[in-house]
Amino acid sequence: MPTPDQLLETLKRKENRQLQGRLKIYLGMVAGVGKTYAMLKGAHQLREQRMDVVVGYVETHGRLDTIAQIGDLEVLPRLKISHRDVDLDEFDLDAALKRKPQIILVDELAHTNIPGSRHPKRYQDILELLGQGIDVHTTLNVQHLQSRADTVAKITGVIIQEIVPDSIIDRADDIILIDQDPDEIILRLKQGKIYSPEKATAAANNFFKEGNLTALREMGLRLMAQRVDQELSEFKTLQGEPLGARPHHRLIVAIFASPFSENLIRWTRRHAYALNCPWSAVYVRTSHSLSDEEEALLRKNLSTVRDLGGVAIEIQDDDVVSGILRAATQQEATQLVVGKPRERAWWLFWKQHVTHKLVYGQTTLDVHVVSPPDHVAKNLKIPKKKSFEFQFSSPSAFANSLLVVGAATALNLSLLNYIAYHALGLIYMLAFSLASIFMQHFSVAFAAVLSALLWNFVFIPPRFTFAITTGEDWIMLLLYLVTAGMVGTFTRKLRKSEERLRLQGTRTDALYRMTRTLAGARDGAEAIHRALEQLKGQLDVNASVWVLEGKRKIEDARKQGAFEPDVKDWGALQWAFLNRQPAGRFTDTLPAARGHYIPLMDQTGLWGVLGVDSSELKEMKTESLSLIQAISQQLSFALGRDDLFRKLQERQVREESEKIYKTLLNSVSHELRTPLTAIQGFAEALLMRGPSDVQVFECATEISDNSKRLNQVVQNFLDMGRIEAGQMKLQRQEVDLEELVRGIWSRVKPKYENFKVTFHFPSGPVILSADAPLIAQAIENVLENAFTYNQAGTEIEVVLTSDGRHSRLTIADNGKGLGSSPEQAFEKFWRGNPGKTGGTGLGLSISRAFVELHEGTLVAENVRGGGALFRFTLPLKEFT
Amino acid sequence: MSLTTVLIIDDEASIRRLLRITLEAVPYRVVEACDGREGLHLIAAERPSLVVLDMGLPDRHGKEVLRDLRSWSTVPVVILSVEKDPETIVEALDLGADDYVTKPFRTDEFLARVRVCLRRVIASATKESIVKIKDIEVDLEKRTVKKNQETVHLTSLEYDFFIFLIKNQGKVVTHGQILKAVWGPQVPADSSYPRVYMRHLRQKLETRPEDPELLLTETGMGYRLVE
Repeated sequence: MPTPDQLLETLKRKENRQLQGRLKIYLGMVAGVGKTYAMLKGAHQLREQRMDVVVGYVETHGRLDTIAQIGDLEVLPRLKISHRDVDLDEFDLDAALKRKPQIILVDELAHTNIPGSRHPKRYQDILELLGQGIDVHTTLNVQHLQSRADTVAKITGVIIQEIVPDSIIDRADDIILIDQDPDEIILRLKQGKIYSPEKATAAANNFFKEGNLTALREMGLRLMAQRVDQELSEFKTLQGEPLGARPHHRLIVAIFASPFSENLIRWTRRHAYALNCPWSAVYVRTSHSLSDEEEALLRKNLSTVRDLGGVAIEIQDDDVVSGILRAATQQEATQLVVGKPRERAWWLFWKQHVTHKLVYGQTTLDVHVVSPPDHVAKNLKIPKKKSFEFQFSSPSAFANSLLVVGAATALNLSLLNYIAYHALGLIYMLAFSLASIFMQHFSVAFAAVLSALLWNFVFIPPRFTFAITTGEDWIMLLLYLVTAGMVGTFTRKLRKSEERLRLQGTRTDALYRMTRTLAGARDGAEAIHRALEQLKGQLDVNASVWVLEGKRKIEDARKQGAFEPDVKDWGALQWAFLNRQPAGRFTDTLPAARGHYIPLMDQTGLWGVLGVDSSELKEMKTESLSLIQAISQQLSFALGRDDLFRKLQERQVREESEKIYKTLLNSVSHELRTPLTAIQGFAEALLMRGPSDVQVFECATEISDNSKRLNQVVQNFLDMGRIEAGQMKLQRQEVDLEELVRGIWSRVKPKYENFKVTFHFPSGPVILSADAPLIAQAIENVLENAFTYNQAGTEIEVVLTSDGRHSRLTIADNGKGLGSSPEQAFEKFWRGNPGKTGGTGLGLSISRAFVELHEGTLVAENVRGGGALFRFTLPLKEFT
Repeated sequence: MSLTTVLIIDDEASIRRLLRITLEAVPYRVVEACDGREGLHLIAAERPSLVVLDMGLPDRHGKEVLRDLRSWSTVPVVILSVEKDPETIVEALDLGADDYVTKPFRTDEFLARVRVCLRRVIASATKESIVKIKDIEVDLEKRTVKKNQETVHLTSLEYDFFIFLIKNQGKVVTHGQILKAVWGPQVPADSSYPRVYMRHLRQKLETRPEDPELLLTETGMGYRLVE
């Protein structure tokens, strides 16, 4: 049975994909097999199914059938970029994002963008499109895949420059292999259907040989077969079929600051893919420091690992072999990949190569020893090792050496009468050994040579000459020097590793202190302040944080810090914000920017962006990067905590004010309504006695009518009070708008029998999700308004329509209209005809407020030919 | 013949006096209580035929009085409420109140509610198999419905729905009550069945379905079959 974790992982991956666009790759073995043609053909079919398909970028290479195949598809204009005075065409990513089609075609996945584009590679453009939920169809030749590039180079002798990471193949939802017989391809090439004639001849001689094509074809087919295998096992996981509890294999590759390591990485990735197992790469950092060149190469190797979907591990150990084995154990690796060692100089015979130690050492791992491909081995550019650093010891160190040697000489002089001169050498050795613990490298060497010379000069006969007469003395002096040298070297090594440990301790300590400092901040602003201080103190860089504080756009964010980005940097900042990924300098996105931008986020949300001014930094050291990452992570936690706290506080305040308002409004309502009920009720009680006393009857009628009016006024004021206090809470339910309007009409009909009211309703029901009484009151107010301000006999037309997204209700009359500015009708306390009795001038503004609470609109206008028209627009249930 | 007894539970003396005058004019016998505790005590002691219950009482909320009362008595209850607040009213109706009136109310409307609630008590005793409402005639035994002497075909669910309304004729019935009685308790509370079936019933039973006179909508609360 698959483990729950595996199932979850498979499901999660499927789920995540659903939010993202789908990637379809038309895979070919070589240019000219008809990938672009097939892609365009597919696009036409999709468009016939009413899909929104757009051609983002298609390279036709002047092939006529391909040009014809574009046909009437919508083609996005290309971006013109001038690079070194040449105008070049490029895919316009921003235009594509703006157009946001369902499906976009972007040819040649492996294309390298013109310098100055947002991403260095086209596949990164495509990943961004997918991230925005756009489906992408693209084309790729098998030789451009990172893990296949070596093999292709080996077979064809052509080194592939444009490379895409293999992870893109894993990311693809569909891969369509465009297969063609090699003979046919060569025929097509000869016919000039692939390249222009002069180019075709060159191509035929170099790349388009039958042998090459057959090999490439096999490569493509094998890739497809592996993919089908993988899909099958994924399917089986989902279906709950047994699959073995965990992967049988796990690969780990040992890498170094060497160009050959890249080949090792690709080899490992290829095999891991074939075995369908996870893999990782380990680099063991020893006390031996790397040159800049080596450091750069190492970084490149580690990022290749990540690009190819592996786990990159850096481990500290002075013994490379034990470091590798430690990492292998951590990763639960079953197979180890190492490079075959190069021929070594004979004089290093005693130094065993790491590979030998691993192969013959005590480990249960299977070890693969991989040799570099010929072309790589031949062109291998070994980076310069760090040149020997001449650490000149300080004068005081030399003085100390002098002092120690002098003291030993003085002691020896006093002992000379009792001990033979041979033994005095041992006293020198003792003094030297003690000194080497405290002294620096060169002063130690100085002390060794000085003491040897003094011993010879002062004590070894003939005394006070450098001459040595016996062979015995020669040997003794030589042994003294060798021993001193060894003691010095070991002491130095010991001290170095001690120093490294101390440095590591300091770093850990710094990280710990930073964490504590940030965690101790009272609020987000203080945490940011402290983080910026840490960055300044530890890396000497300016930085800024853009804090969202509930805002949705980065432009509205509050900036805190001294770093001011320029226009170009804003692009990177925005990209980091929108894509929730690091951008700017030392990243793959807009690397020309001055700043390095990291989104500050945790599982619950995005709180802001940290921008570090890295224009002063020549390179981003792994340590600096991990410090920045640690700071941004801590800052994210601090800001997340801050946000939670703020929300909590806001909610408390809101709840408090809600409670006060509710109590107040309810008691006001109760205190006003109760006497009104009594007044109206008693008046009606009088009326029920009949018109026996005309005067009493008339008085009772007036009391009743006026109390009703007063009640209406109270209702309006209370509603207005609630709206203004923000205390209207919608009790949404399913509302049939037609039913609602009819209900209102049946209620008010008795009062307005002498108006001609007509209704037009659509055939089907119009359903809202709304607070029925509020919407009813909004409509009733408008209807009442029409009756109040028009004379009897006025025609009123009520029309309900729906456009599938919104419902529209218009109430139009053929009365005298609303005057010059219909909008005025919605102003509070504005009354169309102040002389006329009744109304508070609040009815329409309440209607509008109620409609707006439902995210709808209510507008008024004059009808041509006289009369007023009120239009309600309210979202339908599905769009609420 | 002894008069029907109505109990008024309200803390406002003037409202009690108004209701007393209104009800005694009918005539009914009126008993008054000024809070929930006294009200419950009087229901037990006086055994009234109907209770008029104000929702805003000083000692406890009307809802609680209602819940308490319904655990041992089936006396019809008409709710008095200050605000036309569907949430509270629907809650009270679902708790077992029979109908509601919002303050300020019209006297004739109030009396009509009282009358309907009292009549139901009497009607449930009699066992008529034919029910007539305006031009509609329902034969409860044969399960047939006629309009103007012509048979109207109702589906089984439509018929059940209509019968439920007839049983509660003149009273408001909430969305939730309809769902529970006609469709059963397993149907979700936000189901749109009642609205859809009400549309069908109006098409079949109303003379002018676009202007219903029989099957009325109580906005935000439910439906009411006209008396």
